[in-house]
Amino acid sequence: MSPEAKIAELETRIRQLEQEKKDLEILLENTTAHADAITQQLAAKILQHERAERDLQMSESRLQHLLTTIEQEKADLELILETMTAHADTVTDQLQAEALTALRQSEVQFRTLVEANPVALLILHLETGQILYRNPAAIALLGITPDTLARTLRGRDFCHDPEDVNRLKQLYAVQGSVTNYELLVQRADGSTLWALLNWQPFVFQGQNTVLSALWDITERKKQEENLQRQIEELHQTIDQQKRDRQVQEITETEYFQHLQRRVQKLRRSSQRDSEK
Amino acid sequence: MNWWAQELSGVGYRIYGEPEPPRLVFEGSLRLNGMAEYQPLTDWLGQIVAAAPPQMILDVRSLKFLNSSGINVLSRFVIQVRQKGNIHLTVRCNEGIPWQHKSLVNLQRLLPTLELDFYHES
Repeated sequence: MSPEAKIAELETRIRQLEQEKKDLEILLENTTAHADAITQQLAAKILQHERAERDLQMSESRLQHLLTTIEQEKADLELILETMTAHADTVTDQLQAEALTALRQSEVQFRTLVEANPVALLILHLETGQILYRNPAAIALLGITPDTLARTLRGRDFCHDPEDVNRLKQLYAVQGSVTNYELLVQRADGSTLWALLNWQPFVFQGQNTVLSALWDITERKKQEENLQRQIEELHQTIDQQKRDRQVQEITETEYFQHLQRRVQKLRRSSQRDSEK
Repeated sequence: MNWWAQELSGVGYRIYGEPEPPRLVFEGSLRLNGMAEYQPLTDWLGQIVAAAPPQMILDVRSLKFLNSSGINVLSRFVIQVRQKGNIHLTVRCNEGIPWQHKSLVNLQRLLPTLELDFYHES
């Protein structure tokens, strides 16, 4: 190869190498820039990830705290509920015991009052009329004996006139009570007496009942009848006296005297005629 | 106004405060109807927690009856005391009143440091 040809070849080779160098520089520059961009992107991602992790940790901590608080509140509420339930049970027992004591006292007071009462008292079942309670005054008034006590007695057993039962029921249904009803009572031995009867609604041992009060008015009735008889006799006497007075007044009038004189004259005249 | 210088009273009950020793005294029977009627007492107990006396006594020895809303108010007060953390609470009770013997013991489960002093009174 000639020296000129060799120089030309070398120059070509130099140009090629220079081109390759430029290419490599561009490549290096691109790669570096890309690497920088990737690194920056990665750094941003890492930062974002770290932030997210921190947030997550904080949220977890907050949630843990919230969970602890809620658990504590739940435990407190369960305890309050338990305390209140136990308390309510205790208080209910206490109230029930107090109510029972009060009820017993009230029953004792009721029995003391009605058993010492001279008025005959009966407690009748509202629907059946069965006598649920009678005080000693009622036993005496109605003549209830130990034999009759064993039977189931009803109010109607002591009404002489069965119609009174219907009348009383009707009055009670309309008025809600019955006051001063005069009833002819038939005692257990068949004898009768007059009684003034009152009916009032009454709750006895949790049942709707009728409190029936009877007051013996037989004596009063007899006195009334006597008085009535006396009044009638007086009326008759007064009527007789009135008639006598009216007759006297009539006979004293001039007209009557005149008529009487004329009658006498006529009688005398007719007498003379008959003698002739 | 100091928390102790107050009084609540109504039909059958009286609640009053005393500064030395700091205590709240309950007397009679508390049968108020629901939490709304207990609000004045709830507010008063809230003032006590805010004032945070180092020691506090609830004296219920003469409280013969307390309904469920009342025990609810006391339970919530005990929780507030526990949350506050710096009040030593004592409850003076009457051994002879059944509800106190049974219900107040439960308050210790809400506040383990709660002191219950039982007295034998008729």
